[in-house]
Amino acid sequence: MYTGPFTPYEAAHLLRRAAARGNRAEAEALASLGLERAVDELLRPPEPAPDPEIETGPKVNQGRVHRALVRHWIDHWLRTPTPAAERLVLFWSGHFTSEFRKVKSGRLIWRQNQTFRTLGPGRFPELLEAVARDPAMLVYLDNARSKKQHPNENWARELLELFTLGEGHYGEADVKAAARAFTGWSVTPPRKARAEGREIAFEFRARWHDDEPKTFLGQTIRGGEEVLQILARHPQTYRFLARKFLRFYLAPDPPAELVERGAEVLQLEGSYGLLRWLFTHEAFYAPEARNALVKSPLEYLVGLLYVGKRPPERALGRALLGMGQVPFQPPNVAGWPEGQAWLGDAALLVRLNLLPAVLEETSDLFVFMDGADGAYAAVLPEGQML
Amino acid sequence: MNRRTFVQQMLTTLAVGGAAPSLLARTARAATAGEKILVVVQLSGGNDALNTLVPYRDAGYRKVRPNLAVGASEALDLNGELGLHPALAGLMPFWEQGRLGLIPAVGYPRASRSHFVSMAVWHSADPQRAATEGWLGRWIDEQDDPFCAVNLGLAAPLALQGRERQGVAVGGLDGFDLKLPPAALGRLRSSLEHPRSGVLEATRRAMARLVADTARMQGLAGYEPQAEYPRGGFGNALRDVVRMIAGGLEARVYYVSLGGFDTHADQLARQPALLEQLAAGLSAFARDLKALGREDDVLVLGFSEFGRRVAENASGGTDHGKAGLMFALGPGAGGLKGPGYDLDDLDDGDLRYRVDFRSVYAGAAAFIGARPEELFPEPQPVLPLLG
Repeated sequence: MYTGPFTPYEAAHLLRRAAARGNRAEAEALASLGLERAVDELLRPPEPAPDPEIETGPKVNQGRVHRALVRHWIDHWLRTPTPAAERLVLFWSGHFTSEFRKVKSGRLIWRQNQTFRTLGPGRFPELLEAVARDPAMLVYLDNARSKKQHPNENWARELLELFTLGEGHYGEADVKAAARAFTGWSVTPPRKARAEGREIAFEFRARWHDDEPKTFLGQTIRGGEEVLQILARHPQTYRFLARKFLRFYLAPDPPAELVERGAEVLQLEGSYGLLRWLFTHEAFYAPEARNALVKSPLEYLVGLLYVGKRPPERALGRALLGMGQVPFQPPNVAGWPEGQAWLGDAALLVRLNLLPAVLEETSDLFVFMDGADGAYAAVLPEGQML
Repeated sequence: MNRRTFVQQMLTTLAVGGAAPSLLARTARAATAGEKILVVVQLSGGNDALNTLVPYRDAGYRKVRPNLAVGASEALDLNGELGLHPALAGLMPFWEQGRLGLIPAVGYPRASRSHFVSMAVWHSADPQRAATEGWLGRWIDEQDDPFCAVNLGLAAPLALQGRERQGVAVGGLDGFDLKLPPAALGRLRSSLEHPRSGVLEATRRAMARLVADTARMQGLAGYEPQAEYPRGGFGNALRDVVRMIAGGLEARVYYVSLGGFDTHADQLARQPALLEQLAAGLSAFARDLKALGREDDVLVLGFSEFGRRVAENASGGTDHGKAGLMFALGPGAGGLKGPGYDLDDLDDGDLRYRVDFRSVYAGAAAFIGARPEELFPEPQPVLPLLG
């Protein structure tokens, strides 16, 4: 438990890490609450996000749908009274990835984003259950087409490798067993959904399902539910996730003992429980934790827009593309890169050249970065750090 | 002393003193091969191979493409059986000079018809999709200059991403500069003189590198291209490549793209315009290289993520297929390579691949002195592309 001073300086660090946006008045208000109440305030239950208007139909321009979704999420992140939930949504959307270019449905992609908002702060088993039945995920990782005659291993493999245990904690036979267990976990055929005027939803197709017993991580199972249960109880799942959380919220190379303790907290108390523990931990306020993370492009943009002015819509889209992070479009199933990978020449150039279009002389950068004195301070290396 | 002379001298010193470590050996080879340049041209969306290099005598071709087939009177004959689409007339002089190479039926095992999957395979040169770095990225990792590879676009494509670093992405030569108010620029420069620690220090270094790189780009000798390039991003990109080569940037790889080849419908209205843009861009590029006296130092290598279905569809277009066409433009690259199309032995309605694209990559990369083992995790055969 951190017992040092909690001044606006520490509160700015907390706000930056938790929410990636803020201003001096907000940091001062948090400081006056004291650490624990400030953390409680930041980790209030998320305010719901309104659903956007989404064009549908076979002739719809998917690029326009995607741009509208990006705009909608950024607007919500800028307006919501619970911005910490939105940075957590970004965390989960880089973990349980889906790509718009493959899913090709604004509705399904947005529904997945809402799932991260509603279930993301809670306990992992509930989120995992929801993601395994999420239509965007079933389409993205091809499980929607997986039949017992030809099980598709895409979802099963990523579930083990990227979403729960991590490499080295399962074998090829476990991937094959899990793939068989998930055969028949599918979605409403799009044509049928259109004809009947309803949403594409999870559908279990018993005729596609392989109900024979199989051995998964040493246990005899039949269906996907059992795979999920085993993974959601597995301590390695929480170690893997806790390390990823700490890399996102604390530092690029978190100490092993913090990962171990974080894993226990995550399993018992869920994501917000883990964040509450971390945000009140002394390691979080240590000098080496300050300026230890590079802002991702979306965090950089949200932080600037919150205290600056809005550039033309086209400039926003080009900036996100140029900086290398287009929401709902991670580069691949492993999610976005992190840290120094954001700072290649062209991307960094876009970051810096964006500043005159979004900042004013009077912009308040107190939370955006350390050492801010006037808007030009954003060109300092500190401006790139979270 | 420029980098190359410096490296040469250092190596001479080392060679006298004893065995050169492997890292330095690699640098030495890079320095001697430094004059040669590879330009990769990506045709995004899946270019229809059969209407680019046309088997115009093949009755089977005409039969399954009643509306789309290029007729014998239109095709620009190459060898009595195959001809170029008339929109590629601009490339015929290069064919006649023995500088245009065409490689039909190129692909890889268990091909994917997904743009995304197949493009990733072509970029990583790993049909298993396990690799997370690009084929040229592996080579970039071994070079000593971040400017060894330049993408004309907003972000470095997977092909140019290595484990350690990636090629420089230049959106456009004119835009590759810091555009900040003088006071902000001054503040940036002076703050970069003060080292930080930890991750913040790495960020300071990245920013210092950017400032140096933009200065290097601005410091290039100005060159006004002589030829006329087609309007649009592709023409602009090739024009910028010429300016960088002429200006003295020592990049060894350039990467440019032309998109819009996903012709599921109205192919007759769309593909010819794209092919014309391709031919106009490449011939302008070749004219400028000739004017610069560099025409024998540059090899262009073209690909698309897949070819299209052999039979046309009901919308006047073609759907996603498998094997496609690669091309090369440069000294000694001329002629038809590989066994050619076989329309009697299709793979589920698609051209079956008869040349593995990695062997073509290897053949092209040899031009800049890159060895296959630097590009691919597993050994690959090399298609002799030149001479």
